[in-house]
Amino acid sequence: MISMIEFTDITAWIHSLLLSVLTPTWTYIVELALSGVTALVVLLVCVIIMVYMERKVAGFMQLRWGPNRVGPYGIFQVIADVIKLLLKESFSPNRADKVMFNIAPALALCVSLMALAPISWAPGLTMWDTNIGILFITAISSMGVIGILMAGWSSNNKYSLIGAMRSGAQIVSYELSAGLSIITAVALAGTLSTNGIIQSQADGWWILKGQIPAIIAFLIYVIASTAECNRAPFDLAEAESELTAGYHTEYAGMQFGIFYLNEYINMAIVSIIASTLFLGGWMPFHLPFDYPVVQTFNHIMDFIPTWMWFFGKMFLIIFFMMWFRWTFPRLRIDQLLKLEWKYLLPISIVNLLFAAVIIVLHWHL
Amino acid sequence: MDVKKDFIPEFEGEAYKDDMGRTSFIVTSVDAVANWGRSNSLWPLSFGTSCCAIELMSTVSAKYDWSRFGFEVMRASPRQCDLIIVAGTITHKMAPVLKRLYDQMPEPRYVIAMGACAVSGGPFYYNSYAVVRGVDNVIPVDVYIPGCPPRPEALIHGMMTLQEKIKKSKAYVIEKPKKKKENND
Amino acid sequence: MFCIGIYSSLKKTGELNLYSSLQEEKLNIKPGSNGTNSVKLGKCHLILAQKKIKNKQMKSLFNYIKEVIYAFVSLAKGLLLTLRYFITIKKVNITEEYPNNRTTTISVKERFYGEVVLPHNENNEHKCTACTLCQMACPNNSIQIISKQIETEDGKKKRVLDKWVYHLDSCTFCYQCIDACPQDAIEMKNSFELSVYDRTKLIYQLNRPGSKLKEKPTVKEQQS
Repeated sequence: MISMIEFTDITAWIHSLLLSVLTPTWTYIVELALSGVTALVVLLVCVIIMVYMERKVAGFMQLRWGPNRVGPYGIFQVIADVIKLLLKESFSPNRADKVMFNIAPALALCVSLMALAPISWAPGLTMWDTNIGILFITAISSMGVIGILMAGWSSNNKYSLIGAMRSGAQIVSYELSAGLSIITAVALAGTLSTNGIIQSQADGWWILKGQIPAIIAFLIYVIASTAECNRAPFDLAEAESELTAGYHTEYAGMQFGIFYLNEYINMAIVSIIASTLFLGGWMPFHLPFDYPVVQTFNHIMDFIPTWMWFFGKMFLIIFFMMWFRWTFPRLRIDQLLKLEWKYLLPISIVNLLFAAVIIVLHWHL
Repeated sequence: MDVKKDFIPEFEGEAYKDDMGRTSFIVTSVDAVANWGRSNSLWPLSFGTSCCAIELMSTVSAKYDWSRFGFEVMRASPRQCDLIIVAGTITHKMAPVLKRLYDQMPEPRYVIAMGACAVSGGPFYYNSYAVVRGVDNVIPVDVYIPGCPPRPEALIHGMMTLQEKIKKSKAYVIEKPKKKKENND
Repeated sequence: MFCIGIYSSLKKTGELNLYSSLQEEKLNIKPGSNGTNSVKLGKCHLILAQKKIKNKQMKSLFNYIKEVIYAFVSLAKGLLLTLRYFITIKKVNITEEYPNNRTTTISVKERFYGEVVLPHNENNEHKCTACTLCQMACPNNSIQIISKQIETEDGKKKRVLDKWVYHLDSCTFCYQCIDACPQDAIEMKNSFELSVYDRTKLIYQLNRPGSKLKEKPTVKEQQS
């Protein structure tokens, strides 16, 4: 496209450099480790930005400033929190199942990090470019409930147990409509690979090309994924007024910090998936018409680097989720399940049928 | 109101000193980082027993907004908080509950006694059989805020006083188990 | 989905029950002396009721759709409100940034009671005669007045103030001591930055060291 350094060049250069020093097997291992560490670091930086953003957004939406005394504009606030959490005493209660209790946060974190593997960060920058990427992500993200249930059950506390069970019910039920809206996008794109889905949006994002079903599927996916991340207004799993702190009531120090981190990593992954499926991932904004004006517009859009598009879309969807959180009050558990089973699920099934009709008749652009 | 320059009372610092009165550079710099982190992210327990809690809520609200300091993360679980603000009267029936909450908090933990009732029993000091005369009879208190109830600004001042104390104290207190003296001299 | 909604709303209002009871009536009509009339009447009622129910069904469907639309509108209203605050935060912000505004915009009213003080004039003189009326008026015993006997130059014994001890830790700022004081010796101050690390530091001695009672002007001096 343009004469700038692309990620494919960098990865190819690292690959050739490692091959000149090491054997192919070792090159493979080192590349795996490198890509994992890079993704982790990028994601941790994103999480720090997200926590700061959350507190600022909360402040601004409630007519106040939010953190502004630790560093300029309070940007070191989250770092202070992390230092404090790291240096805080962490312990397991006497009657708890100690092995399970200590494994649970790590397990929850591992599961949410596993979903990073098939994500396409930029053209040619995918850790595991498989043809079933989206299927892998949906399979992995439904395993996240295991860590939460383990945490709730092993801490031998009634609040934790109730919180974990609520969280389990919530994640399992909202997985359905999230999955159905993912299938809508997959059916439109005709592939399960993340790279393939993004390539299919080269002439326009699915939310523009896919007519009404794509828009409905996007909205349902955002609502269902907010519920899957246990965020307000669906944060029943840790409703302070009823359950103290839900499944992490007994966790202190960095173990609690890992759950906190896990929530934000989940949010990041969910918004990355939403942007990949409906907003074209790293693909610049293109219009699907053949007029010369549109062609020049598409060329101008190509000048904005892909990583900017990727993170811009990700943070846009994260902002939506924060916006919901600081506007709506919390739902009751029966209202929550009613919303899923009576409204979102039927709507998404009908929507999928509608999308199928559109695909069969080639009405999508 | 008078405008004093040094409006936060000074805390006489504790420092690791050897016999010559010197401190190690590494110890002090580690202390500085740890104390900076701790003092800037004090997460209070949402605990309030009477009218001082109304002022506490007012301090959280948009007008006085203690989230500017990073204190706004009020945790409901004592396992995840660093600070307990005793806002209100502690009766003899409430005292064991407060003690248990304090015991459930992980180290390092701090206590602020807010208002006359928590500091000394206040209006119930003389003519009540049911009120604890000062919360420091139950748990150790770091900062006392007088007032009935204190203004939201006074609470913020108390929190800043606590920050001053944390910044000047030892980051780690390693208490060796005391050896029992065999011979009672 | 809409059908479910209508059904449930009908069930709620009890219209279905009405309908079924009407049908039962129709079956149970017995031919009597006024049998034909009653059958006719019953049929009339039935038809009227059915018409009513049809109208009500339409109305309830309309209401249901209205409620759904209203729900979305109200959600959108809330979202727009918070978005407006988010965008125009510099205008709508109402935070008083306390430690920064100490010298400028802070408003602590004169009527705010924060501390009892014993004002001294420039000659280090106060007005307290150690009459202990304030001590007796105090409901919490926050005031302790310690007096001492001294002999004046002309040999008279006189009681003067030694220590005016004020327990700020138990004071509730009820103003009764100031009301009780016949000399107007004590006042309330609106200070609030009083946090300390140690409870014993909240016990103040209000009279300054070496202070004296302000001599009242004698009658002759007043006249002149």
